[in-house]
Formats: sequence, C-alpha cells, structure tokens
Amino acid sequence: MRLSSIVYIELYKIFRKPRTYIAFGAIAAIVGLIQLGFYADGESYMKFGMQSLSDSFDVNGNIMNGYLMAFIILQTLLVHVPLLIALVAGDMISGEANQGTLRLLLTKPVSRANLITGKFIASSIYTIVLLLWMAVWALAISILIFGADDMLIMKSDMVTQILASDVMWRYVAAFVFAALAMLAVSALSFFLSIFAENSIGPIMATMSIIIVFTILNTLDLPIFNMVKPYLFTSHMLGWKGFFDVTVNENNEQITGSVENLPAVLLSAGVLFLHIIGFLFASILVFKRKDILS
Amino acid sequence: MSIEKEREKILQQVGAVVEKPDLYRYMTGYENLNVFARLSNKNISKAEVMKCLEMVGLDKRAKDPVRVYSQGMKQRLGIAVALVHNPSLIILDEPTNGLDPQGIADIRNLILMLSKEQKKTVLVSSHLLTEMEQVADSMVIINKGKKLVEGRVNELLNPDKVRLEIITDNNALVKSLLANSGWAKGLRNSPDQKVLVDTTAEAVPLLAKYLIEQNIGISSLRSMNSLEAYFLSLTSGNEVE
Repeated sequence: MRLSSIVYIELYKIFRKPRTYIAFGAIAAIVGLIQLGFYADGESYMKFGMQSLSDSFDVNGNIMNGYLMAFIILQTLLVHVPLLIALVAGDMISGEANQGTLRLLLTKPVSRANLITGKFIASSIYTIVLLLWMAVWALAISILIFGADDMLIMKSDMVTQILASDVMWRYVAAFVFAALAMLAVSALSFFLSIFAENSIGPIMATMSIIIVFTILNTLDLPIFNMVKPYLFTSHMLGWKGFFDVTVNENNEQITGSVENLPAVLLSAGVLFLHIIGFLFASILVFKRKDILS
Repeated sequence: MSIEKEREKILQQVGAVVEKPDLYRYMTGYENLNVFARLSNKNISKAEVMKCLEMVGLDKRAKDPVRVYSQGMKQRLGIAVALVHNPSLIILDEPTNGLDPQGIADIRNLILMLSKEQKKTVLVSSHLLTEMEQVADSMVIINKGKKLVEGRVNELLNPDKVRLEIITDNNALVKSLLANSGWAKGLRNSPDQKVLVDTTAEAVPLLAKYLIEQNIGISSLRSMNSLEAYFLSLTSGNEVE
C-alpha cells in the first residue's frame, strides 16, 4: 500500500479528533493574551526593562514592535508546546490500542513498517502545522498589531540590535529549527505511545523526560556535563542562536551573520538524529508488538 | 502463497472482524468504512462504500457517529469493514457476541446471504453452536487447542442417529429398566437426573411405547440431535455412535 495513502488517512483521523484542536485553541489563546497584555500595559513594562539602558543610551523608535513580541512569545511558549504536541503524537498508537482499532487496521493489506511510518509522518505534519499556526499568531499578527522596526534583544550582559531588514529570515530559520526541536519531542512521544494502551501514559512520560533532562541541563555537575551534549533537550533552544549577530571591528552588526552558526547546526544535527533514531526504534518495536487489543 | 512474503497480496483477498469490531467512535459510519476502504489498497468509490452500508442495513444511519450505534449496528458495520474491498474469504470471530436475539438473527441472515448469494467463503469462529448449526456447511470442532473433528455438518450430525433426553415421573426406575433391557447399549451417563439414550430415529416410538407399557409417566421426550449435543458428546468422551 502506498505510504501517501496511509499519511492521508492518518491526517484525516488526526483532524477529525476534537482533541487536536485543543492545541490550536490553546496557542491562539495564550498568544492573544500576551499580545493583549503588552498592548494594554506594554509601554510601562518596556520602560522598566530599558531603565538601565536609557541611562547610558538614547533609545528611539518603536522598541515594542512585532518582532520583539514574537521573540518574547516564542521564548515563553516553546517550553510548553511539547505538551500540546504530545497530546496528539502520544495518542497515535496508544489511542488505537485503547479503542481496539489497531487489530482491525492490521487485518488490512498494509505492512506494519508502512503503517508506523505513515503515522509518524502524519504526526510530524501535525507538529509542523501547529508551529505554522504559532508563527502566524506570534509573528504575523504581532506585526499587524505592534508594527515592525529594528529588533532590540536585551540579555544579561549585552543588548543586540538587529536591523528590521535583517530580521525576517532569522525568524524563518528559527521556526525551521523550532520545528526540528518539536519534531524530536513528537518522535519521542510517538515512540512511547507504542508501549501504552492509553494516551495518558505517553503524554506524561514525554513531559517527565523533558522535565528531568531540563533539570539535568541546569545542574553544573561533572557527571551530568558528560551527558548533556547528547540530550535533545540541551539543543531545543538552539533557535535563539539565529538572533546572535556578529559585529565588525567598529562594533557594527554584520547583516546576515550568525555568531555561532556551527553550534546551531550541530544542535540541529543532534535533534535530527534523535528524530531518525526514534522513528527506527518505533518501527523495530512495533514490528514485534503483540497486538492483543 | 506465503503469508510472510506476500502478506499484503493475501490480505487483499481477506476481510476480517476479530471478536468485536472496534471502530473510530468520533467518526460516522460512512467515514469509518471509507477509512478502511482506502486502507484496502483498491480504488473503492463512494457509491461502493454506500452499497456496502446498504448491504448490512446501515445506509440510513451512515451519517450518524458510531458512538451512538447499538452493539448490533457496530457489529454490522464491522462486517461491512470486512466486506468493503470485496474479499473472497471473510473471517468472523464471534460475530454475534453481545447481540440481542434480533441482532443475532440479522447477522445470521447476513452470513447466509454472503455465502449463498455472493458466493463468499465465510469462516466463523463461535461458541454459539446452535447458531453455527444454522449457517455452517462444514465445521471443525476444537477443544483446548486440539482439533476433535472436521467435516460436513450434515454428515457429522447424522439425522438417523439421535440422542434422546427423557424426563419422567421416576427417572431412577427408568434408568434401571433400560439398563436391564435391550436398550441398555444406548443408555448414556447423565450428570443430572435426566435419562439419556442413544438410538436410531426409527426406534424412538418403540422406546416411548415400552416406557408407557411399564406405567412410566413421560413428562418430556426430546431429541438432542444438535451440534451442541454432538459437541458435548465429543468433549465429555461419550461420543455418539
């Protein structure tokens, strides 16, 4: 059976389930609330944030613009989006096992490897669509509401200013990277769903793994430092690297530059390997799975 | 053909319902059938899907979500899932499980229609022997994983040989009388107080006459020439001759 047909069927099933739309609704609601908050009270918030800077610099222009809003939203939301992704990816196999439809599916002329790959691709497409939805809300609507200007990112020890003309491609790259990070979460959740008979288990397990790995990342102990480079959670925030620019000898920003591109690409590579690894592990485990329900 | 090497090719010719048809509750009957039709690797039109629903009597409820279907309707939709790609072999595992008498009769008629009118081979696995007796041409009896007997139903259930279940006003006396008469050979052990006798169809009136002559009041004299009786005789070791 053609893989494209399985993907089509699986997408149809995903988008026929009411739970699928919880994630879209949640993202729209959270982003909308952040935008409303900043629209109503953003000026005083920005003044407070810029206090230390305005003592030394004269800052003009639309600081609280759509680009900055998108950055703030992405930084806040990308920590929580895995839960929304696990909601669907963790249900892909376990949901079928729970309903008992897995057995009926396997009476049809479709190989287990194709079925699992088709389901995996469908859950990946859902993840990408969810991120596109987030991009529309976080970036496009923020630009509509707050306008566009140079982007000023404040960090603990420095301020980065990115020219408005140099921002959009960074967002495209950041969303592509974020897609990789979220696909790694989706792949993990999908893999875990093979072992479960209901979707709560894989969703909880995915979130637990992310929380544990994130805590490990924050602990600066030699034993944990050894494994950190191999944890996918260590690389999930690599999208921020696209907003670190290189400056020339006059301390002027070099348009189109990324300060540490090799590190960003390495993170992307690690995430990609995790996705492929989880896919193959899923196929291997599912091929041996005893379908009892 | 090897199921290992040509699994998909073989499954295109097979339709199956395993025990209870678990379907997507959030979809309608039509959507469920359409999903499984697409998985069957054949080009199946909407009209063909509707025709299949019509065959199982669900065409008027096609747009209703499966969550509101009764058990019998789900069972019929499950059979439609097995039929939608027009397979030559249909495997039904306990197709009447959990159904009311009307539902059981509907499934029975559907199986007979598939077999007689559409010339499909239908393999049914069931514990309801009275139902099987009404639909099966051939049967295999399996007990504790071991095949006990295989053959044509009409040959295995020979109508000339019957097992009689007799209930009288004094069953103990009847057993004693029969044990000391020419009927002793046919007398069978019964777990309860009933009297069981294996004999021929022609000898039944003679046995009744004999008991009446012995002043026995007969409450019931019933032929147990059924698949159930045959199965019980096989599994209890008291095989019908």
